[in-house]
Amino acid sequence: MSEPSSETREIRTDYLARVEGEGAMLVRLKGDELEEVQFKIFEPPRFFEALLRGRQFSEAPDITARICGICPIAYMASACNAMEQVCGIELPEGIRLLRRLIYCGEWIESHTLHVAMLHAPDFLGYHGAVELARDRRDLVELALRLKKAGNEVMRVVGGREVHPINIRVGGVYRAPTKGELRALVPELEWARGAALELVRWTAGFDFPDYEHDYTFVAMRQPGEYPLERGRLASSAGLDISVDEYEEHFTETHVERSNALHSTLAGVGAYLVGPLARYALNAGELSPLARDAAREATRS
Amino acid sequence: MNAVATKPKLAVWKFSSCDGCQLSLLDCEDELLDLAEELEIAYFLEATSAVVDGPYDISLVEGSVTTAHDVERIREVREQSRILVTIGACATAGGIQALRNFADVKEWIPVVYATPEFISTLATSTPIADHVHVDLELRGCPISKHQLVETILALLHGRRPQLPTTSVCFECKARGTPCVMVAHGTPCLGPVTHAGCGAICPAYNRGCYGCFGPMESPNMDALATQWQELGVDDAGIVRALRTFNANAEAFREASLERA
Repeated sequence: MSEPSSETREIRTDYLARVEGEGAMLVRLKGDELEEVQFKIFEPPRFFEALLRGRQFSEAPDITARICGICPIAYMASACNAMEQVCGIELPEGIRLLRRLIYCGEWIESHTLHVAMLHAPDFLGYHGAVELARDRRDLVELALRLKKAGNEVMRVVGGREVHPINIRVGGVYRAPTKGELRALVPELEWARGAALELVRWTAGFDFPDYEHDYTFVAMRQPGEYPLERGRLASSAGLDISVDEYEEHFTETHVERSNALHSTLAGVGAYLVGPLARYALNAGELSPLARDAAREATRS
Repeated sequence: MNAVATKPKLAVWKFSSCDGCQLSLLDCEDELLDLAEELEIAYFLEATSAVVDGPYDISLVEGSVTTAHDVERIREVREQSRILVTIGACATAGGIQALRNFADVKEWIPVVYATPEFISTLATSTPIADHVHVDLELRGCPISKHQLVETILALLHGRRPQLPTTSVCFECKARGTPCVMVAHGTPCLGPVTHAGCGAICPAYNRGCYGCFGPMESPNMDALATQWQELGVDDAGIVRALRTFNANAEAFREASLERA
């Protein structure tokens, strides 16, 4: 091995592209050693916690949806769950499944957007999906159609794709008819095959050879892949109900970022998101999804 | 647009917002790749890391102005843009974050942040048109993607986009939805709200909640009288007007009268 250089270098990105919201990143290296990473979220604060005070409990889902137009159902479902817990409401099974269905629509839409249009260009050396489409129009068209299938679930169950209007505390304003739901089936059957194709495509990407001993934190719900309900679990043995969150997690405010930093008691920093959810719940995947994941990790 | 060989340049800018209106462009799944043939996506950080220098033929601006830095930035965007189109309730009215305009933002900061002195924010959230000249406004929280495509195509071909100026009531009639106020006694902002969504809420058995903001000549007093007859008190009317378009003039004045 050659003598390590002691020169300090900085990689600075003032405006991260293809992410939700606004952020900057600073990476400082001494020689080849990573010295510091600073992730700065300068998205201007909008103060939802403050502006929700004095509103009716029933207004929380529509207001909190506006935190993010890419994943409004995540906020609407969370707000509904909170208010339903306060009210002591147990959702009837049909209503719960309807909420899970629209959440699935959001996942199909949002995850396809992220995987194929926001992240794939980085792996393949393109500026974005439009540039990628010049060489692989078939794949971008597949992704767009898959995304549209998710959006169609959002539209039918929720009324529209961005900020759906049909989710309320305790249920929905109007249940979709059998005919409306049945009309979704053929495209969703196509979408299942397209999703498998997307998994196989991304499995062939050149991933960095890097492993980290993460502590994963995700929801967990026995008998199903967690989505709209569940307890909070970690790979370090945490297993709590959502209302115990504040006893275990601490949110702190650092100067460089308008996003709070969260740590888990006894652990510190932890990882959330699809990777954590998969790490904690792989056994709950459907057989088809489990096989696809197994095949993908082999390649 | 110019009949020269180069494609018109499109830029998409974000201010204080949820990203949902920009996403509406990426949600044009059937039109996106064809649109990209007709114009050059020159600046759109949510979709591409390619940055082409201005000037830009069309700038779409999402979000409201809430920081001193953004007051400067919107001026720079205006200087580089031939046609500036604001997209959505944040950019056209100030968004949900404009609820601070009715409160004291200094009191709000410590509700969220442990160290308020780290936070730099303006006392108000204001629409883009309060700062620079705006050529066209697309309403909605979120915008209608059909209106977005119509607007881009119209600008590309040098014609005025066809955008409705009526109230949501006209859209209910057009799609054959019975009036939720008359038929079910459900309070609805449809009579004073700008059309464009396609009257989604009444078709789902709920009253319009005004996410497209006030129509051109809204009769706010008549609406309030109707709501009172349905049993909604002044506080309820004020809350209904103070959501995503709270700072739009007609909604703001009507809510201040009753607050």
